[in-house]
Amino acid sequence: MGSVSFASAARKSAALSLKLTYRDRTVVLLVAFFLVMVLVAAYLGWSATNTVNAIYEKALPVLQAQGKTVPANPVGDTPPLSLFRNMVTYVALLGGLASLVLGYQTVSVDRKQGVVPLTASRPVSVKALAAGKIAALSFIIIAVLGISASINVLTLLMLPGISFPASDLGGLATFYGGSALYMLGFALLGAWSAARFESESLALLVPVTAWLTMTFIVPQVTANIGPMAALNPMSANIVPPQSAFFDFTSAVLGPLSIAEAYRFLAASSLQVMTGAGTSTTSASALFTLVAACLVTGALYLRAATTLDKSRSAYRD
Amino acid sequence: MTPVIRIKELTKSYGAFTALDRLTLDIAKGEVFGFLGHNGAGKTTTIHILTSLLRPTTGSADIMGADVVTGSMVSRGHIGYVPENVRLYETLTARENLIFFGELSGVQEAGSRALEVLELLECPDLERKKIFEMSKGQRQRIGLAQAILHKPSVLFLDEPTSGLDPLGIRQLRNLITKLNQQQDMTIFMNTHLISEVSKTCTSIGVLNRGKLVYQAGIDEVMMRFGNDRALEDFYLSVVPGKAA
Repeated sequence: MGSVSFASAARKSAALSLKLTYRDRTVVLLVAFFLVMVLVAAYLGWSATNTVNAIYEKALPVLQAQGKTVPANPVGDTPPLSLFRNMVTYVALLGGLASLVLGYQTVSVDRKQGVVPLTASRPVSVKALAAGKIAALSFIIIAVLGISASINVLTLLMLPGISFPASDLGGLATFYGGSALYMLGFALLGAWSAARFESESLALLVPVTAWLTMTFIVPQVTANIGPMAALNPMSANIVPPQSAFFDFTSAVLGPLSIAEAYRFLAASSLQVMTGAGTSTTSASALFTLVAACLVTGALYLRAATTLDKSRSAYRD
Repeated sequence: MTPVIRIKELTKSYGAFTALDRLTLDIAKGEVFGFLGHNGAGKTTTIHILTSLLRPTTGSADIMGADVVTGSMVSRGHIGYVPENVRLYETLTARENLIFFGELSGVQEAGSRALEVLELLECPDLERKKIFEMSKGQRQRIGLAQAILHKPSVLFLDEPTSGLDPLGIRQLRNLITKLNQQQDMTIFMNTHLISEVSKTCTSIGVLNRGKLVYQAGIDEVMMRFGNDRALEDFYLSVVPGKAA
């Protein structure tokens, strides 16, 4: 038997990773929980709109009877996509963490189940197997977000009093594209860590610490945004305090903060930006997210290649 | 005859510790080679280098003429490997594991080949069973199945009888003989069980603290020592002292 081509090995690796993920209840439960939260976000948006509509309908005859000027229904002035601003919190919190676990689990399963010597003694490139895992991670994230987007569109179409122009599809696509990059960056961080460290607990702790730092600490250091406010897409409108410290930290750390980049991209695509906010642009936010994926992807490929195949099991 | 496995001055060091010290060894086609030595003697390190899992510090080795470092894609295509305490994907069935590993070795129609191999190993009933549901002996069989699926020329077995009960050991011994005689596989087997060597191998090598201290054909060994007990006495005399 000869060696197996890169593409063929990557395909086999991707298919196996999908199968193993499907059989891993923890990951499936996390994904299911994420989708439930998407439904919750859709319900919250639907419920809030319905409540405003109901109040408006009740107030309308009263105002007319009093001969007062009847204002327009505020629902009509609400950008339809802004109804999904809760999604930003769910993607940043649950999506980020679930992706970390997904990436970690997809790679660590080989080390925990002791099959690395069996795959590494085959006539295949280690990079091909790692590329297959990246493909599987991308597929899962895109599939989950695809379902989320479908739920969002259906919700918008079902809401009374809300029109969903086709032009908004671009905003929704940008939001989900940014979400996919954000989640993939964390999935690859988890994958890198699972391949890089000799201790299993350290391999899980390091990316979680990085996620916590990116999500809660960096926004505070660069723009004085509190940990809980950092999850709210509306915080993308906050102008950093004018001080030498924040000028410096936002210039140095700002471009590295994928959480901030994601929050900005989400806020602008879901139409919750008020026009103020940071000097970030959608293009620079997108660049930060793409760069994060490329860097974490390269780190993972390197860790997978340099892993000692003869002693691949975790030490704890 | 050109040896199937050729090892020349192979050395592996970890800092000041030398795990393998200028090992030179040739294994001819069709042999069942028993590599004896205490725990930590360097047997597993040798297999790890020959299977390209580990790079030697100095020296070279080739399988069927392909260097295990510079031509590892080719050399890996010629080998099958069963590690000590073989592990497989626990949540997959035997068939799913075999198809995956078979396809990574370039096997076409891996599904039908998997069943063929399970029949050869007299365990076709394990095909749909998940690995976590299997006994140690059953896992060992599937471990062996994944290693021979692609009909390798050389099969590496690292302590294959480790953890098996007497019946499992006997069955495994019969399988090794069958693979060697019916499938024409050259077998390189690490062990520290003298009794297995005399029953299964056609030649042996004894490794002590990374150095090859004895090598001979089994006929010569048995002629010289007569029985397992005498062979054991000899083994203990060439590898004296505590295990590393």
